[in-house]
Amino acid sequence: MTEVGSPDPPKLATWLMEQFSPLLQNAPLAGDLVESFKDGRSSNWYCRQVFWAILIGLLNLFRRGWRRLRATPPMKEVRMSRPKLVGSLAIVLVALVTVGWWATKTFWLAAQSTHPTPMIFYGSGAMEGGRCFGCPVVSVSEVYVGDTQIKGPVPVSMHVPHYTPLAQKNKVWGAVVALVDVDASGGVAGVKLTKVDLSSSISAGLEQGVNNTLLTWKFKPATEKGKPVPATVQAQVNFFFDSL
Amino acid sequence: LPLFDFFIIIEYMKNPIYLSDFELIAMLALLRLRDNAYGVPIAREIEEQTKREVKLGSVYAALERLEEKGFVVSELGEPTQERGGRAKRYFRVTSQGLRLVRETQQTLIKLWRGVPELEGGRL
Repeated sequence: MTEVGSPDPPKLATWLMEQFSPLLQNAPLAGDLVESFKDGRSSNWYCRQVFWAILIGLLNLFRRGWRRLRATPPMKEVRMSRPKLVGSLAIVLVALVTVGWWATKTFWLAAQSTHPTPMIFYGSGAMEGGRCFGCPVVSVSEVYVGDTQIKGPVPVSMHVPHYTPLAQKNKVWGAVVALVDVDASGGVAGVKLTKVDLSSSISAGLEQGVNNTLLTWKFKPATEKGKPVPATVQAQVNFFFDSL
Repeated sequence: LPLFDFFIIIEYMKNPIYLSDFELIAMLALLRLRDNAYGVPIAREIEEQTKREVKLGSVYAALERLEEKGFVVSELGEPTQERGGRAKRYFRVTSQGLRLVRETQQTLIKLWRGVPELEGGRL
């Protein structure tokens, strides 16, 4: 027992109690604490009691709120006809399958690839150190238009052909070479495969993939005396495998 | 366990109303204090009987729970200067609460009977 007979209880504790009392609706408790203190309880006892009173009061508040929430009358029961129920379940099932398929494609297949970001090379000598595990390496070389020396088209957007799961499974490797016609606006006007040199007769759709992907490439058009002109580019896509 | 006590327990379990030990102690303190049952004397009574320091917050929390269940009622007295202008909150056990205390007492007595370790009143 300390500070027996002290006129006022600790100010900070009293202030705290006054702040929380309206919220916790425990004014009689605050009065009890003051009365006990004046009756000879110590300041330590008072502070301890204030701390617990606030803590227990807050917990009680949450408990009451939770009970009120649980006591809310349940929503009116909605009875669904059988076809409607089946339809709803079908929609939910389709949604789940779609999300699952998308997630598998996005995350699982991406995780299977050891190199999710393939390396892209442009220009001569690009193949140096170009080995990569299970992903295609793209090179573009020999920019020319007939016999005329012009500033060749420069690729600005080169999507990489997809290394199909079937090709990965069969460990297909090799190269696909194509001539890409670039028009004066920089778009690809046409693609012609000139060489398909793959390790397996099961090409697993690689050439088709190369053809389709090359059609999506964008270039800064070739220029002759400062004017954009159509041009042809030879592109080579190499497919490597670690086990080679 | 005697068969009769077993059925008493089963019967009691059917009833969703239970008293925690502190709730029972608080109700017994109210019964002992009769008309003077507000925070300070209740806490003092419990402290004297249990020889443990009591948190006034816990006392109020328990009594409010009992009030929600209808075993206790409370009313505010007049605010006084010595309490910083705050009123006392007097608690009283309802007839329903008294019945529950009696039932609990009977059940505990039955459970205590026939336990050799508890015979003779020694701790």
